[in-house]
Amino acid sequence: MQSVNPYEVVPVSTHKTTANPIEATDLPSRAEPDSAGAVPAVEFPRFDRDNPLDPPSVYTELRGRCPVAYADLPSGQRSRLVTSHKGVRTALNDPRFSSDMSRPGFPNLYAKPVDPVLKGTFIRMDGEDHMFYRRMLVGEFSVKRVEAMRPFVTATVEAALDRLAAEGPGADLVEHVAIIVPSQVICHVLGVPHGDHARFARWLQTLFDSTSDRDQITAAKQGLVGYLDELVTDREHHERDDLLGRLVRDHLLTGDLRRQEVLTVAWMLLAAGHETTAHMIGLGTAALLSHPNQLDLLRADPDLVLGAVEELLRYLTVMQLGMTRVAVEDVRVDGQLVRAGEGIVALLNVANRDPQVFDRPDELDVRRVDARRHLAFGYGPHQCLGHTLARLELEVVFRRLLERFPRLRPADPACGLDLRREAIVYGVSRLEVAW
Amino acid sequence: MVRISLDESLCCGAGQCVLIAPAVFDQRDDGIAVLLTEEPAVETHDDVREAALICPRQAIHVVEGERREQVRHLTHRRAPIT
Repeated sequence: MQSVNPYEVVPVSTHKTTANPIEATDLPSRAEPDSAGAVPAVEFPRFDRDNPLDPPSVYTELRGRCPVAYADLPSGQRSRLVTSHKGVRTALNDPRFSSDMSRPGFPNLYAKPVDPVLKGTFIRMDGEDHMFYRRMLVGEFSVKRVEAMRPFVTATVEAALDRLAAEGPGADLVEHVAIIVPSQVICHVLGVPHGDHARFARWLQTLFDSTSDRDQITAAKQGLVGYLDELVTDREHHERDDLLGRLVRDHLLTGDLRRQEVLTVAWMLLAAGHETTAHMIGLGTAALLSHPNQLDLLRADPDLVLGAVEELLRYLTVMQLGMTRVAVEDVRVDGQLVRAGEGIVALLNVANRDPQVFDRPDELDVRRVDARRHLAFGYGPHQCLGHTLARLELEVVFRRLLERFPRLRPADPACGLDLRREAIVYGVSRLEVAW
Repeated sequence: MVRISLDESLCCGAGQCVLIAPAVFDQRDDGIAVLLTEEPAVETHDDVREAALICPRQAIHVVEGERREQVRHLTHRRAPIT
């Protein structure tokens, strides 16, 4: 009996001939032309969007024509640019692609030089090295453990919505809800006192600011690590029922991890838990407010919220710079040969609108049944560790926001969105709402 | 009839399978998935196929029997509180 992976029956996209390829510049000598001729190269990143909620059309247009094209990066490198759902899945799950940024050819998305890999930054490791660290953490974010966080998440959301209500119509949802809820939740999980938020918020903002220079990033990491070091020291002497406490008890004091590794894991989790979920709340609310029919469907049937969260993740995909890898062997990706040593930029947002996978892909449809096939959390062994927690936070926020503010609307409908246009994590900087 | 297997060596502990088909998949304390049954009940078959599709490591292997049940409307499940 033949086992069927339904993804594999999807026809491979064909490379259509076009009269005007975007750009057919001098190709690297190892380029493999497709049947139509040149493999196009485009500048990356570009942030110009025809519609603020759709990916830049320059990349969407490539997906149908040449889903494994070339990207010219600010670093001067030329990498492969993968835009199909199938291609992105291969790039992120095939073991012949490495996450190790110290390898030659690894794409650098910024004009500035790249920091060396810190031991313990398991996000940039491969294979068993990566799983060694991931296995220490993944049980903390299991379905059961996250479900047990529901009461805390609910209380946190209620308190934030109380503050929004107290501010009155015209209040900024980003400031009072979007930024606050994920921050308080991840602090609670880790055991970081949220009262110290003012101390570490600055450092986190620097880390996520794509205009930060190398010195600023180094200073921010040092600030964070110094702060977390105090918390680790406390847990060497006192048993605490939180993730940091368990990391210290089960892995630092046992000798599994060195102190530097514990600190690195801690700041990575603290950083990861903030911006992404916050901007899904802000941009997700903006998206619903600009799709009144979808909002009405959700208000009429609150049980749609789980599906709506998945659809918002698919439709918005806030990690707008995609995921980066480097090929360690020759690999065929969605029909195109990628050579060993070539860098990869895998565009999650464009893949999430792939018509080979999603019907009417550019429509926001909260009743879509297969939205969960999205790649907003990535794919492969590095898939977002906190995805179940993020989903829980988004579910509770949207459910309670719409229940408590049934007439939620933009405070000034004539006002355009204040977009974080070039940020690593796309979203809105503020969203004044009325009700 | 559908038979499933799970390659534990590939599992990265994402838990997507548990979210989609909690009657069929569970997680150990360390987050790695476990199969609760190799021959899941017919009402879970669509969700099992979805879990196999979604698994970020493609660690779930589904072998279809001779007759394929009519595809039902997929439901979104929340994990049971245990």
